[in-house]
Amino acid sequence: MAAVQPTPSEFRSRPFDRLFWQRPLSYWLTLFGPWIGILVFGVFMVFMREDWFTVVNVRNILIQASVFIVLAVGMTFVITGGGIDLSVGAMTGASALTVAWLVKFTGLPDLLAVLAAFVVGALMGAINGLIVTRLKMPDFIATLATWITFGGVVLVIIEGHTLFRFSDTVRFLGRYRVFDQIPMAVIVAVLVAILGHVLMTRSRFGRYTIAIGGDRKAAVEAGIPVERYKMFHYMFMGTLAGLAGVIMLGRLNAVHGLVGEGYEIHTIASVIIGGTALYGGVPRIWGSVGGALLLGMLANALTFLGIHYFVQYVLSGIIIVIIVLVYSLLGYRQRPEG
Amino acid sequence: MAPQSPLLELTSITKRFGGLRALDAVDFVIDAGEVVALVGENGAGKSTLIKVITGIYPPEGGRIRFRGEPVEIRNRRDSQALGIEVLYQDLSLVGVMNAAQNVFLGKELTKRYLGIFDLLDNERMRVEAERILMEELGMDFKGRWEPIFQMSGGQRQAIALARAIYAQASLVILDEPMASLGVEEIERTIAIIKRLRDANVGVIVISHNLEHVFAVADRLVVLRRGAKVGDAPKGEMSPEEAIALMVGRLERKIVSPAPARTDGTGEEHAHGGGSADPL
Repeated sequence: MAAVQPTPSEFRSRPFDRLFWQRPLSYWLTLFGPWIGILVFGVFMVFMREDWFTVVNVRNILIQASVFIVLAVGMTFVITGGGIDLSVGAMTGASALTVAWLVKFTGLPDLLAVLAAFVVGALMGAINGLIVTRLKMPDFIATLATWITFGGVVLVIIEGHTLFRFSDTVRFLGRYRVFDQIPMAVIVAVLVAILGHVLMTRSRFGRYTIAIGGDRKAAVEAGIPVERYKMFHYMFMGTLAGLAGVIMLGRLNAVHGLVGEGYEIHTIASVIIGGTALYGGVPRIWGSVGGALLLGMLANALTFLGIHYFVQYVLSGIIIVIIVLVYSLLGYRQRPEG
Repeated sequence: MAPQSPLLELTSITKRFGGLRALDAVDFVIDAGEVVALVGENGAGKSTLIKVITGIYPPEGGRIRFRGEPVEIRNRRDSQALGIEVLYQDLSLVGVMNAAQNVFLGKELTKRYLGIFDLLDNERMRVEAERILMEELGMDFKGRWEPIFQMSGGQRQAIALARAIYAQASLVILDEPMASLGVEEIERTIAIIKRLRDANVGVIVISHNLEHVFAVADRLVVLRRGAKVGDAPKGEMSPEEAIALMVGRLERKIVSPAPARTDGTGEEHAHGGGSADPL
């Protein structure tokens, strides 16, 4: 056999190895899918409406998307690890309610009430994780059950009322603007995305998440404590839902029994549009960020064009189908099967 | 470790499943730097013997010595601690990960940042995986970034072997390593097995295909209905004899119950095996 017998010097680091021409075009199109969508749709909107591409409106889009960016980063970990979390919307609502309830009905300082949202989020995530790992329930069914349960608990506690008007401390993440310009929510979303990227590419947590979702049996044989990591995924998701709840509460300055409804669909759609494989093992953190941004932009633009709220659902659904169809037509296989 | 002790020595191993005697007082010896082929028909006891060695089936009778020391292998963790690595046909790799990520899975290298954060050192793992794959396994792997499910069976096998090498295996067991490979890949696998032998690793190859077995093994062990019926250096057993032993036309041929060498070092033995190799 004509084996290559290189000298040790050939093994030195080659930073140019990963440049783009080494990978097929379809890989890059999948990687940048939602960002291409944002660009194309953005150009379209600039021509359609002159008053669309303004500082105020772009900032609105970013603020609205930031909640979903935070959720989509967490969901990318859950899905990449071979799971799914249908309860994110309910967890987001329940976290927001926790803060509202604590500041309105207990003497707890505002800052502690906000911190409590993270704890409650992590606890709800832990419940999901325990049902999946200890009771061995499929992720879909476990989180379907907790979706209904968490949502139900919120309705029981709030009894059809709306809690509103909160202090600047409570609203800090949702409303504060750095230099009166840059929304705190957007900064938080960017930081969460960077954290997600570093965790996914440079930590054991991310690496094992990919291994578990890619081939659970091989992960077990490599000595990875699969169930512990599944637990981490749901707790991470829950904690981020707590953060999303705080941002949302700050932005809306109100919370009612149905807040967070539909967020799970929006979040999962963002992740799928972003190119993350629904069957696990292939994460696209920045794709999820782009997906959340694209969906936010879409909702905003359709409103701008005077298209009715209900029709927006139909169009959003069609656009999701088109994007996913393009991915499959590109023929870039992410996984050995499925 | 006494220099004359074989790497692994199984004496009079017995294993029953209900009334069925899966292994009946089987003796099995392998030396460091030796390639032993384990052949036999389906149900002859090949997999049971491997599972005894890896600790999946603890035997009911018999003794196991590792480098001369009596050992008990009760589970997979015990066998891993002895450096026994098994490559099953499915290879247990993660298809969506690249070569370096698979080689280091569960044993990642890290680098410290800002004095507190231990982050994965992807660059060093890639360089090190490339070194093992290219230098030690002779593969052309330069700049391979893609997920391994897109690679050929032979390349995936090399990655699984690189895992074993990185784990500093003393004994590598290959279960039908050439079953699903093309002609060129079989040659490469044979070359890799010889490299492992040269690195003083013991290799057990399970195979149905006698042609492949004769291309790579130093010694053949034939099992039939749970008993060892053949054990001879490759030069002293013809393929016809091996088949006759497998199916029972020939009763018994045990030339070397223990390795021929009892006083040399592993390196000498490896050279001895090499010179007897007609290929």
